[in-house]
Amino acid sequence: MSQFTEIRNKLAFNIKHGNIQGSLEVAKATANFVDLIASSDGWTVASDLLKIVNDEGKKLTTALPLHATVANVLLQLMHIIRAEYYYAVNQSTQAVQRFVESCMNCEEIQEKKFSAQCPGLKDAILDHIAEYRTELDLSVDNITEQAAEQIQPGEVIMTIGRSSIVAAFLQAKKAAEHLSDFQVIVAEGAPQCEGVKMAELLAKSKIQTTLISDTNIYSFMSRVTKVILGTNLVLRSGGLRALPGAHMVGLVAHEHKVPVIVVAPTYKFSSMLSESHQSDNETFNLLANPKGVAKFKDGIIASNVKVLNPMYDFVPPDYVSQVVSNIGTYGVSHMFTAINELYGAVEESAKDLKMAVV
Amino acid sequence: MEENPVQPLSKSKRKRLRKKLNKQGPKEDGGEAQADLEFVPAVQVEPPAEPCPCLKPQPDLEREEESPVKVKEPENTQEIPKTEQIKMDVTKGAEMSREDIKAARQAKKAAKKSKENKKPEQKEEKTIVPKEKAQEQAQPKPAVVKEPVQKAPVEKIEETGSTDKGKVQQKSSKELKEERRLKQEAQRAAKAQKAEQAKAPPVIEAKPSKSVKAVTENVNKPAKPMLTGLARTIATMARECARIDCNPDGVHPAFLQLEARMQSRLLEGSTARVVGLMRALRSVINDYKVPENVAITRDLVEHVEKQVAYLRGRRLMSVALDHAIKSLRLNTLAYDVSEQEAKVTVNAAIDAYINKIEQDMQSVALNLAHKVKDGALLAVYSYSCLIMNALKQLFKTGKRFRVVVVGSNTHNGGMTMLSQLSDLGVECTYLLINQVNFIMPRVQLVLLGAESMLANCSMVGPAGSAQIACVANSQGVPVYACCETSKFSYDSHQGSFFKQNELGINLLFLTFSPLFTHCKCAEPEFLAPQLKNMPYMSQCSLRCDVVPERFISAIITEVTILPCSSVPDVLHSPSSDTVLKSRTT
Repeated sequence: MSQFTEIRNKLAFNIKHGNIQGSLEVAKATANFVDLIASSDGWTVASDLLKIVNDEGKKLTTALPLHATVANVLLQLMHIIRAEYYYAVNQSTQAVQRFVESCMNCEEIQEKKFSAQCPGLKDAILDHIAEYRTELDLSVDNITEQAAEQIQPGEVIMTIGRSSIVAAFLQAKKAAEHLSDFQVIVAEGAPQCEGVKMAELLAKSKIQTTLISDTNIYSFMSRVTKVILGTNLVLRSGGLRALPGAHMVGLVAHEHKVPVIVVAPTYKFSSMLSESHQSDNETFNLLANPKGVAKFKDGIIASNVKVLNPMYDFVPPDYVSQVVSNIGTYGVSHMFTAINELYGAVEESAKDLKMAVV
Repeated sequence: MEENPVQPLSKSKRKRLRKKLNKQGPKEDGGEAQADLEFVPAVQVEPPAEPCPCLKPQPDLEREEESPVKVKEPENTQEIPKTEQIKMDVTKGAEMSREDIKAARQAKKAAKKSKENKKPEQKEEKTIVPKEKAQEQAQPKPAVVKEPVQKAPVEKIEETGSTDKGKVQQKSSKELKEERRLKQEAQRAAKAQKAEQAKAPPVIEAKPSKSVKAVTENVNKPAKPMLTGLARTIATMARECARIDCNPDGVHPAFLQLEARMQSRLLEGSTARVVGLMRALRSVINDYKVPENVAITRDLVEHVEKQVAYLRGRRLMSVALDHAIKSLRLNTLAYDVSEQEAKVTVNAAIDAYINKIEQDMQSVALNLAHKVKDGALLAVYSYSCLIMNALKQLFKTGKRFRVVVVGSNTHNGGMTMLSQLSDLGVECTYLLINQVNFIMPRVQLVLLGAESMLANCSMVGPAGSAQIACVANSQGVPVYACCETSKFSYDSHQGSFFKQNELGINLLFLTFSPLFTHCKCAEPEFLAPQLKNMPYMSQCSLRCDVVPERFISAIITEVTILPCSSVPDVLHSPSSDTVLKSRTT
């Protein structure tokens, strides 16, 4: 029992029960939690702090297997702690830059074990975490600023399911130019069918919206000029873990040579590695209860019927053209570097990977 | 009556058919009725929930409507003993689908209302909308409909069907049971009053159309929002769909019902639709009476064309249906043929066509057997009568395979397929079209039921087919289209998915949705009913999909397994039916 147990449990409870809704809020709450740990007196050297964050983080992510954001934020903040330590030890921005960018220095860092006493480290870490939290606060604004570059008047945009960040992106464009006449096609996104809510939201902000069934994605794609997707995670490879149907939209867009733009703030960037398509699909997916797929009244309660309800879809990087995030717009091939900057080198975060990959 | 799938085959015909089938392939199942009705999964499947939409006997609602309207003389019904029919219907009552029950129930209510307030017709028309609302409110009380009303005027049935269906509500199973019981009572009573019914005075058919007009006018009042681009396209399509030839004046009840069953996807799969059409046509022919001083050949063609135009107006005609009608060669009837002879000839042609469909289905099953290995994992999308039948055949010949049934949440074709396959004992997995990527890497074969093959080698299938094919293709899984050559078409894909598409009923372009209230069946679930009339918002769900040639590995036909590129060759081959040579309109 550590001093953070109660706070951690409360946080987990609130997230699980929907008191904290939306990935942005979850990310903020997690950052607050780490801030709390860092500002406590429970640690003197960086390795202690890292250990506490890692232990608490493991428990938190175990309690919240569906919220990848939590793991992402924890890992990103741990990287920040390491970077600050490294800066404190070397007192050189160049060194930190090297640390951030390069995998080569990993061994060097490992040897030092983050155990040196550094005066001022705590303040530096707290400053950096505060900066991170500000970044979270501004993430939506930073993303929506780029809407004007991405959407031209007269475009027909397709999206699937509900994503608050995509909605904000589109609404920002609409608000910026009152006369801009782009249209949005929203696919329902079964089994949750949150596309309905999305369409409602967009129509309320006076964007011409068409709600289509998931079966019509192919039919409508020939009229679409751009696909904008929200996502659950962006992987190092540039692939996505998104809601079911995203793969289909991506594939069909690819087939029609329609660019696919993914809107994802940095807390959705995951340190997860993705290998082959097959293994991705099998390993990182979760099967939810089949409620949304087949209704009880459909009477298929037969021994020889299996009803599957995978929660996620893997979108290979080939289908993604661009990732718009709060720190800039990336091409897919650049994702690897961008994510490394957030998490440190592959090997570095690989240690913590057990925590992150749920 | 003729609509019943069991009835149309006389005993001698059954024997002949069985001989043919036995020649074609081994059959394990010895049962007689079983043997010649292999293609009718509907009849054999027992679950009360949803028998088989495809070839299910048409509900007796039609019979009730039909006889008072068209049957002016008892001799029209002489061909089939009616008592037997009604027995069948009573037993089938329990199997009726929800829609049918609802329709029947509403019809009864309407009839009762009309009895109660015996007001002049005009008044009724004016107050039609509030009346429907009143009915809606009255719905929870089953007591209202307790006594079966037999002399329900036909036009009321049509009317209620048309105005009410848009608001179909979810019902508890309790209510459904109650309805079913009432229905059965009604049918028993119907049996007793059969003779009376036949003598019921013919009704005036003008009324439904008037009511439709009234509704339409009401609809046009609200100011239309500015529509641009896609929304405009959809709106235009919706209006077209509502406008063209939708006037049900003079359309035979069998066709009205056929249309409703197609719209509500009770009749799913193109093969099932063809059979449904043929049965409806038989009713039309049997009830047909030549006007005086008119040549039967001309008038009959016109008469049938009028019925077909109604379907066409609702964008429900497909290539297979066109071919089926052409195959009857109504225009080649001898000039001086008597009415009775003409009916016999046409009936024979209809029987022959239905038989041919059965045979084709058997052959497709045999061809498919070459492609399905033991222990294979197949994926099928939505419901296809042809595929269902073929898989049934394979399973009965001892082949073991597992099936991934892919469905969608907008229509329950997948669920129908699933329940029928699992009833057979096939190991099944079910998921939605969005999630198909999850299972696709393990699938060895994708089967798609084709509505038709176009001359440019594309396949027309139920909406979503293209996506399934696309996913399969991206992962190197072969896709086979199952299609009889009678569904090959001279038309070619126009490039636009809107050109020849059907609007799903739940595809209501919402600002125009009241236009659809005269569509006879609405699906119980809209994409988003709560968003009705929301400005800047439209909803769309198309029914058909055009699958490009490149996604399809081969077509499994009754002749052989062909590459897609052979479609034009088949169309031009000297052996192909001359019927196919003429372009479909």
